[in-house]
Amino acid sequence: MKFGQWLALIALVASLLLLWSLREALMLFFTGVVLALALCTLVGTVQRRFCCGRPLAVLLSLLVIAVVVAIGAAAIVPPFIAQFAELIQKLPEAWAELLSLLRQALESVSRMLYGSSDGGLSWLENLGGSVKPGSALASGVGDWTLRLVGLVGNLGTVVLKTLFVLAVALMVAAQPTAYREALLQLVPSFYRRRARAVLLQCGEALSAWMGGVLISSLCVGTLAAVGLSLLGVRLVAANAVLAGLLNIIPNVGPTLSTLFPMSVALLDSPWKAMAVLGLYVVVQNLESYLITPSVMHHQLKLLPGLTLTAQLIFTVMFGPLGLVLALPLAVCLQVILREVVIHDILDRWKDKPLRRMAERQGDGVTP
Amino acid sequence: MSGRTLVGVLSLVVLGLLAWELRLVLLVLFGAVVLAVALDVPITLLRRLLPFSRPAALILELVVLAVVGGLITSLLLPEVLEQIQVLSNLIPQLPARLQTLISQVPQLHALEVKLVGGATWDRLQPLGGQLLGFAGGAANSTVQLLLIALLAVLFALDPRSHQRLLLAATPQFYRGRVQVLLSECREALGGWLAGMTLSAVVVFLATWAGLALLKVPLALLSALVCGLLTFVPTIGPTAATLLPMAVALLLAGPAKMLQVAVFRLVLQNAEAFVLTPVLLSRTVNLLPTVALMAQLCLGALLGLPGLLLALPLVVVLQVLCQEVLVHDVMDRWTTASGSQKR
Repeated sequence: MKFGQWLALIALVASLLLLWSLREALMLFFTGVVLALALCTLVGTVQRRFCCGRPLAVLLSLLVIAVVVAIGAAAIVPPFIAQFAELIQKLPEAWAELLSLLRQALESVSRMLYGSSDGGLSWLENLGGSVKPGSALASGVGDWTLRLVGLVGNLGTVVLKTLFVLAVALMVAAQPTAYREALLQLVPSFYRRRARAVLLQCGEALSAWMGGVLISSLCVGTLAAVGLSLLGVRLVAANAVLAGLLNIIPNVGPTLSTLFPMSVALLDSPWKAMAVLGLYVVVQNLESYLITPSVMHHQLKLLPGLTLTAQLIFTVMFGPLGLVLALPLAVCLQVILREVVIHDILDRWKDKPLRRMAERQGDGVTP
Repeated sequence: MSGRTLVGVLSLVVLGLLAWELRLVLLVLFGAVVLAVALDVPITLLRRLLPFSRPAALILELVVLAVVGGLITSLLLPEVLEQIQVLSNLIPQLPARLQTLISQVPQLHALEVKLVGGATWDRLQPLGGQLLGFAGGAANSTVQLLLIALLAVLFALDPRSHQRLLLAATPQFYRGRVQVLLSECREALGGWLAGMTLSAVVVFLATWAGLALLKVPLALLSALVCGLLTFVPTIGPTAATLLPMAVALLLAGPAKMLQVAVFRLVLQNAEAFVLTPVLLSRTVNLLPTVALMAQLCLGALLGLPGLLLALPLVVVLQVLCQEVLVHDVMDRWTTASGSQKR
């Protein structure tokens, strides 16, 4: 190896280390790019539908988004917040209810086994007592304020991050070609044409995925709302919106979204909770076997095990944001791996020594 | 691998680690270079017009700067001092005012009660420690600023020999290229500084006029802060808007605050999307996200000084990347395709 090659290697390692230490900022940037892509897809549709120039289309789509968001906020947010607050208040009650149900069941079992004695179950009552929210609050008011201050600080950073993501999304959506060409400048010149094709494919895959997720989330939300209102569970709007939103995160999200309506239903009666569970299982299966396959493209199909693995890896690497963004990241990575690593490197990698060995063996056999 | 290559690689790694350890010192050095370029721009202009030697031009410039600064301060200082005094009287009232505003909104009342109930002196003691640390940091940064100014004057006194020193540290075959690179960096940085100075002056004057028209008190001080913070794009103007907004809220009420906010928003966007691109279009062509991203990354790596110096750093880095990485490495990389396809 010559000195120049060593130099290149060291520069590569150093830049990778730098990127690794900046991974949070890069994740925020990726979020912005994903949002920008969604916006670009919308702009493209508007442009084709109305045959107008790009700036006008950008303005139009921003206007449409603003109107939709405003209507949604006006229609959904106030009841959602009220219901969500009620939901949060009811969770401890539901927990107590669950504990008492459990205790009753255990008592009856023990009565069946040991006759009338019901001793040895006092620990459960203690467990129930320690979860009371009031006592914890009263003991730690001091901690509470400190935590509140920390919460306000966290809220500030979250707001800043959201603003950053939105700004990046708008800026990238304003001139996507300039960013793509700038990125392509950093690729060796013999590979630029191919890299542009790969990037375009990534963009197509991402926008297809986003369209599919949008439709399936809407379906899941609607189905959950219909089912919950049929079952007569309260807080329908909050639960339906939650189910739709959490549907973006596969595996983990639907499980989480089942917990809330189940705990609400448990307050009414246990069988209702089981009915809610059944409803959500049916909705999830409908979504994953009927809606998603018919909406998503074939090439986008991610194996379920792969999805779960990607979620695990990205959560470990990037934290909660990684969990939310696991699917778009996986979609992008899939395209890049398929096109660059498999198609351009591994498929062409015909090992010369091996082939020579095979030829020699063939020579040995034929005479 | 020969012994020579091994020694070269090892020394390179050690140098890289050393540079990483000394990154704050290097940042101070970079700040000095930026300031030196700022001094150098008028010097070059002066020497082109009049037959001065460099030290004489530098002294003349420093004298002019001192005189102009002294004049401005003697004109504006009494007013600014008065305004600062008013402001320091006002700042303690801000939380009380905010509290009354908050208590008018019924939903936030409970939160406010909790906040005030918890904010006893015991809780605030860590804050005192933080304040002490802040004072120490202020002294430290004053020393750093002085150092930057001294280094900048030294650099501006004799830029040629410093340039030669840097040139001597590169291999023979690359020296011509490095010379071109250095002059390009100098040009980009000078253009950026000149453009930003112009735009900061415009922002200062516009803010002053606007706030005076809106009859917001402390207009001069607010305008000064807004003008200075223009040098830190995206984050600076937003932070600078808080001062006149707080003043308007305290002395004139929420309606005035809204007016100030709208005015600053319009001005800031006009500056960011019309004025700066027009001024910088000839010399520096930065994509807006690159600037934002650079601020985030450098702020994460180097703290507040990195955030303040992010834009000049990114201007230089862009020139280097464009010339070295893209032009010298990536554009010429065509042979590998032949060897791969073979």
